[in-house]
Amino acid sequence: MPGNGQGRLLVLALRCYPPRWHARHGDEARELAALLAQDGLSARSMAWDCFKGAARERVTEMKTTRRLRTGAAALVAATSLAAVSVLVSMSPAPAGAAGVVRAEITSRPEAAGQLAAVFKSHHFDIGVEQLPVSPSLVGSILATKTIGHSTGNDGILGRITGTCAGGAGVCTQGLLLASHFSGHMLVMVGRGAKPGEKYAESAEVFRPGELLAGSSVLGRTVAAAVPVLGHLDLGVMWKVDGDKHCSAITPDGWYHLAGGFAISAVSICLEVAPSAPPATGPRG
Amino acid sequence: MALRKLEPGGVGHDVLRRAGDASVLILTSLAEGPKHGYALIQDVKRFSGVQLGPGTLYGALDRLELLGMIEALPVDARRQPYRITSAGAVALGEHLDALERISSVGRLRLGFGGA
Repeated sequence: MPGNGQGRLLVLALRCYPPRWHARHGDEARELAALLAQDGLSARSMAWDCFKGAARERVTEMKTTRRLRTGAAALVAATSLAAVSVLVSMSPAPAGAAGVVRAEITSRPEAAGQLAAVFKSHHFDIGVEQLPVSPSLVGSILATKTIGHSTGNDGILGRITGTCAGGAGVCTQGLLLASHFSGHMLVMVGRGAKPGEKYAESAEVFRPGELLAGSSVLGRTVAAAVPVLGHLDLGVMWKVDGDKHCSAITPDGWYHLAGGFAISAVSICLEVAPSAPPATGPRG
Repeated sequence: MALRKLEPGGVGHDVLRRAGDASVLILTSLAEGPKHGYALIQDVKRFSGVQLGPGTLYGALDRLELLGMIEALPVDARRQPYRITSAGAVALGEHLDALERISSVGRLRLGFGGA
């Protein structure tokens, strides 16, 4: 790293990071800064970037440990970080608790049980409710619900995403929670539907894993799609552009299929539009 | 009682919309193959002209790793390489689609014709 005044500023900026960050990135960050300095990047701009990064780290850590109750206090803490770092001598700043609990689904059939086990082991007041969903949403988190006047969603620091069942689309596969979360919350998880049961939540019916995946009727006219759909053992309803509800009345043959969703394992609602079909096929 | 939908990820859902530019640039770089920090910074500068600093880089890497969009590979000569996960690739694709839609509308409204 540069050894002049700007270099010392950069060293100071790196010292502002919490020990947890140093253990993970410290050595590499110093080497990286030296390489960037050789490339001509000024130590001053790197130092400023690191001061901002360290402030974000510290504020995140403070939030997770609930040391700060208000945004104003967090802002004051962040902006005074540099001064504090000088005053606490050259030793690393005191460690804060990591403060993040990772509740992740790794097995879709056991999704609810896996989440409940994590919540229980951390003494969280978080319930898990299972809802019947279309195939690609099985084993994913659908929603969270805060109850009463608890701090609720403040405890959710982020969500872990993954591909949905069927291999396409992005589904929520876990939550990152503050370890000191004390609110009351309900997490809704998708499960397979029983025969005849309506879905509480449905993904796009043409998505991989869903009822019409690979059927090639998306974008075709109603006239062309009806014979294809007739070969499937499904009850088909229709939603004409702008309608709020699905109807059993088949639209005019010149409408195009623009999308749709499954109502249950044996019934679907297809959305049609009068305009030309989209240029691209269904995305996952 | 407040319901907070997590948007299960239907067509057009863009989970990166609030992730920040650095996250998108990093995922774009990793879409080419695994890289460590310095290689990432060089690649991002090459294809976007954006100079990432160490603070921005490691902050974005930590966030993306927490979200399951990238994963760390075994350390190679003191350098930590990362690679994009399948979830990260899908999320990046959907984000780029969203940007493309915005770009098309913007171009049309500026009178530049379709994208």
